Amino acid sequence: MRVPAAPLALAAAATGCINLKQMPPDQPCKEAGYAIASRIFDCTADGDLANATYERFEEEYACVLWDLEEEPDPYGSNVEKDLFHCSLTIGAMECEQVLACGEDLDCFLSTSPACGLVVTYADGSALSSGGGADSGSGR
Amino acid sequence: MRAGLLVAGAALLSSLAGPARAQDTTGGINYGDGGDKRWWDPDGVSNCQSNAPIAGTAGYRNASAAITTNATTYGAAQWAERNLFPMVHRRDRPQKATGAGAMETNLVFTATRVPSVESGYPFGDCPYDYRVTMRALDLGASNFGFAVKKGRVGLFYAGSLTWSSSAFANNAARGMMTGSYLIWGGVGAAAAPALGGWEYEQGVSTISPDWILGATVDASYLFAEAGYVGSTGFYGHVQEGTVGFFGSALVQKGIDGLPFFKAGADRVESKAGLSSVYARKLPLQAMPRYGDGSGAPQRDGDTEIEDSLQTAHLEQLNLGGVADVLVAGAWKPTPGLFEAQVGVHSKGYHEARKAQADEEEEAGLLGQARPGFLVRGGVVNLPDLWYYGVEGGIYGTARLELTQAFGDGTPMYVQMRLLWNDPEMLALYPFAYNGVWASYRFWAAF
Repeated sequence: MRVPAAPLALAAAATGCINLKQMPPDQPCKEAGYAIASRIFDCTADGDLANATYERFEEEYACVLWDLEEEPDPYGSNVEKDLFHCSLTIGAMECEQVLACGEDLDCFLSTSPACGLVVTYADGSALSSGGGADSGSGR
Repeated sequence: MRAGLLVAGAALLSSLAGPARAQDTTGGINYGDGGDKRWWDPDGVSNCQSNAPIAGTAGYRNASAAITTNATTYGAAQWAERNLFPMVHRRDRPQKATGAGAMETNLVFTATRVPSVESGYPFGDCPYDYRVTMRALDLGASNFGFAVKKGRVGLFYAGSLTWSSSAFANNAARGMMTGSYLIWGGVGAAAAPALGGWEYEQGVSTISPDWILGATVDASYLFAEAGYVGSTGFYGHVQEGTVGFFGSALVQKGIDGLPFFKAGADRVESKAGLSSVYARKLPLQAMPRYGDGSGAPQRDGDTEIEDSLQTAHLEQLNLGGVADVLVAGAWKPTPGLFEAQVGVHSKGYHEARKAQADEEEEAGLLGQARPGFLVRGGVVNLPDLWYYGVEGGIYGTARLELTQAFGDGTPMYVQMRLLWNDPEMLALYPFAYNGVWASYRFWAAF
């Protein structure tokens, strides 16, 4: 039996020729916020609290932007390897730790020194937990 | 000989699944400036062919959930329950020989986007500013099955092949590879037992075959099926045939099996056409944490946690016999308009629930689509779901359905569906905004 390919071709074409997107410069920062919301949702069963916590994260913190437009130094460190370590460590927090942090967002952001690479306070100052923006200038 | 065939088949399926699969980036990083540019690819992004998903991101968590949902919704047993059993349990002719066969393919393009590291391998021209990207995740499911019944007993078989793949950068290549999945996915589903429990998983690229073989018993108003599922062992399912109560020994997921609530009036006839009013509650489940440093999901609690999307729907179908208007509002998690759509369709595409049930039961096609076409479009207003990394807002939505009947005596049907941001799709994959769902289905009953 012949398989009609037209609907699939139409579906593929619907989103343009190229579907690959560059990482938005604030993606590593937002991922930290998403990870906090995800852990709160899983550990408290309160989706509204999780969403509200993310919105507070956006209000109280600012994102360090990484546009990765500079050519990487083949002999240097690839900073992009560290940009998502913050969201990874937050995403690995056990519920006991999540509940202990409660509403203290600094507590979540202290799980990795890499959090300071991607997040600052809203006034641009480095996180109090260290590993702050001084160690990563952003681009 | 048999072992050789198995290895060859497994290698073939692996190669099909892995055109852009996750790779160890430590050995193949090789960036460039995009190489020769094309008008359809001004950045030379088509050179980025190999990548690794980044654990700890919302996209990676969503991908894990989507892969599980896809595998369970279109697993062999669940698919047989929805598609085969209703077609052979026909109360109008319990003592006569009946049978049914069906095959189906479902494809979801961009079920989510996964932050990924591009390795530049094997070509050297993947632009260095694309070394971290948002890769689309595509899902697919191929199903094949048949059932026959003589008197009160019968046999059935169903196979499934569900898969996921991080998408090609280039949509043309993506479409061509997906076309080949249509063929090999169907072959894999039909021959799933020969794969001997083989599965494939690398990053977010997976292949999962499954099958079920069993027997049916029709005790007038009680239908029972028992069989063996390749992945999980013995299976049992009982359905009461008058009211529709059912019980199953396997946990179902997906549209029909999630802790899903829907109540109201369905397709009530009036002078205006067919009216439906109902409330619906769809689960939004929490994602597990990463527990062992490998990025593998691990759940802390004893129970699965869920939020829900709660909506109220007003649907006026068959206006003038050919038009539909659908409006829905949400009160949780965010109050407001949820959906507004208008559509046109061929006459007779929708019928009153009672009339449809009677007629379809006579034809052994309970729950199946009717011949004709439907085109529908509008807007859907998604709530913010930050725990999925989803920013809400108003998105366009569209649906196209074509169903064709042919054959005399033994009716056969072909149906194609194309859905974009459709509420039915977002119910299964709430993070799949701007995704496209394409499906192809063939079935026949005698």
